[in-house]
Amino acid sequence: MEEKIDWGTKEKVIADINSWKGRFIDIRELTPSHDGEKIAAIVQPETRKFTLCINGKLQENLFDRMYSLRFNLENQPICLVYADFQWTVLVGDTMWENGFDMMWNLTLSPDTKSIAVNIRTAEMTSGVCLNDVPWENTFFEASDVVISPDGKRTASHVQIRQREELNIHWFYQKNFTVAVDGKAWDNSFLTTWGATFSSDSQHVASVVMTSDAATYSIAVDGIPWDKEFSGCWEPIFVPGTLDVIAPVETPRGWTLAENGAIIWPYFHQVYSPKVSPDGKRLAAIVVPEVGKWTVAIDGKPWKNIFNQMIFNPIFSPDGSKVATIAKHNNKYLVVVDDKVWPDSFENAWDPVFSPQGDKVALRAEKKGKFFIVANGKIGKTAYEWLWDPIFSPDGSKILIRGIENGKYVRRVLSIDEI
Amino acid sequence: MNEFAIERYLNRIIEEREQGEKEKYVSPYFPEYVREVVPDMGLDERVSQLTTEQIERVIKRVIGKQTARLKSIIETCMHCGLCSDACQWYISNDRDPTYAPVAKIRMTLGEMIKRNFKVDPEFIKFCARVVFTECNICHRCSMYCPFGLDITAIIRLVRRICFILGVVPQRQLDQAQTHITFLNQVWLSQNDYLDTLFWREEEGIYELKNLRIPIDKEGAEILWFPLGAEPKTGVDHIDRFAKIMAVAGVDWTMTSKDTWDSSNMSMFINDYFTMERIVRGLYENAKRLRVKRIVLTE
Ligand code: SF4
Ligand code: SF4
Repeated sequence: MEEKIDWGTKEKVIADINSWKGRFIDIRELTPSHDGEKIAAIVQPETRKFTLCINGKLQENLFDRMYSLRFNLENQPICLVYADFQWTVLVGDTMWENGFDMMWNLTLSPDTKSIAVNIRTAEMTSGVCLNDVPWENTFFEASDVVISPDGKRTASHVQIRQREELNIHWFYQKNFTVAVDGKAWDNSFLTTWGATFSSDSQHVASVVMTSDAATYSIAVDGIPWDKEFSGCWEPIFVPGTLDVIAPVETPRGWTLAENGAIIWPYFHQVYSPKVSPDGKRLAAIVVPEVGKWTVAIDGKPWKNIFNQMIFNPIFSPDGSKVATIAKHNNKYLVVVDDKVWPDSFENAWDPVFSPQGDKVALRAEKKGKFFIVANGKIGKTAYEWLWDPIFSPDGSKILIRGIENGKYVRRVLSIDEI
Repeated sequence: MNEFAIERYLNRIIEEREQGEKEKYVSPYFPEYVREVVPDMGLDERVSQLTTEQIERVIKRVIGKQTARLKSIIETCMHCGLCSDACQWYISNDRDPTYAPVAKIRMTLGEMIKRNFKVDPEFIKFCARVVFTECNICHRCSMYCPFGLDITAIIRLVRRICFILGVVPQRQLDQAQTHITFLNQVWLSQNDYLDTLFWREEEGIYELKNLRIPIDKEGAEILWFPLGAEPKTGVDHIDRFAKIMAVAGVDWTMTSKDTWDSSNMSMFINDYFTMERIVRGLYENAKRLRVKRIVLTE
């Protein structure tokens, strides 16, 4: 998609957002398109009537409720909309044919061509609608839809039996499972969460509560590992394989298990594992001592330890580097390969690698203003708000999308120019 | 007492008068333990599905390697009685020694250890009655003990054993189950929760013009997590909170994702992992939305 982005024009002022403020009762979910050429928001031109405003221009349809605005890589807005007591999906200026009693968890495939949403029907059953095609089966409840990497399949956690108020025996009937493309797994569990697809889109893994209310495992396509644990966090598939890795709690502490076998050392806590795109390296958040956080790579913790919080580790596209954000002494820090950048911030978003992996950029807040920070250097321009920076395919330029003096601007700068 | 509680109380007195003397429960293990019979599905019915072997496995799993340490804690007690005077149950039951904190651990975990974990289902029911209905986990006894014996921690271990075995008073078990399955204490589905937020925003505008309940507002100053009951039975609390934030000019948001309920009832039954799931879920929401502060209802 990047080739469609205009990498030549240095600066464009797209819309005067301040002037929108006088036009509408309120402005919600201000969101720029991927190419930076459009800025959209859910606006309220009259009491309890909502529509999209894109680059200052209003769409025609008015809705009673709207939320979950985002853009696809074709730079079309996508939003959940509600009118005449029905929810549906708006893509560009076209609405899906199907409407539902409720829609939530709007989810896009990696190429943004497929759209999946959890739905509730007029009969008060729940399921998923993928690209305007609802699942044939619905369930008593459905939650946390996930979409396969190829965008063709969906999975959701589902409740397969009607609950009876205050009947405490009901829980032990194992009423929860995962449904894939509307078909529930044969096995059901006390509870399930954290479903994920394999990279070939053919398999699904999930955390499951198995024999009693303190026993957990990972099920792959409905079959639990032959090992059980006192806790498990959300599993991941190793790209290009059917191997599943998940943080597990054992009597010796938390660690990582692959297909049920322990593969890492033990820590007070281990979560958010990430595999490098080539599947060779494994990073996770670890707690080496109580109240201290860091990242471990292939089981080895970084030397830098942080005393408040750490965000998810992010691999460079070639898998050679790992970046994250840490909170330490009430300041946000950027950490790349165990090296802490010199500046600290009041807030910082996920680091973004250049396609070659040699550069890192992100948005961060300092003294109430927002800055692009790249390769350890804070940009010159202070913005009122920023979105994530995007690197050009050759990594030489950065697309910046931000609000400056009340106006939405799009800039294309090299790292030295920032 | 609210009016319903008063009504319930009066009904009970009338019922008791009509029935004459209440039926008594005498513990088959400790004859001095005499109480009223209180029927409860969570204690009476769940227990019938247990086996001695299952109970043994769960006790071992919960206390396992700590057995010697726990035994020595129980044996270190000098019966000085200081902890008893700290306990509201003991004081308000005419200083009946079966309500004394140390009796609660001797009669439950102490007995499990003494019998080498081989106890029958009826004994688990007895333990559940003691640890769930005659102790509030207030921790006062532990603070008063001159030897620093942490009685409450032991009572909590017994609660965990009972929870894993599924022998917990009905209401409490119900709340534990909803936290496990829905990550909130009121069985509220993701769609009902979100629907409620939209509905409350619409209702709220009649009291405060253009009221807004922001959902997933990235970078907001405050992320508010209600208590489970608020979007379920106390729905007007949601728009009240929104009104306060609007008038105070605070930049705030709610989350669209689980975990949005700030309560952690799993703590009362020592469901350790669900407790962790709830706390981690709250922080993951704060991280995802990059808010500066979390505000909880309590
Ligand atoms: S923790 Fe329980 S036993 Fe100890 S004082 Fe409080 S109510 Fe009594
Ligand atoms: S205060 Fe401590 S030593 Fe005294 S009776 Fe209680 S537990 Fe035993």
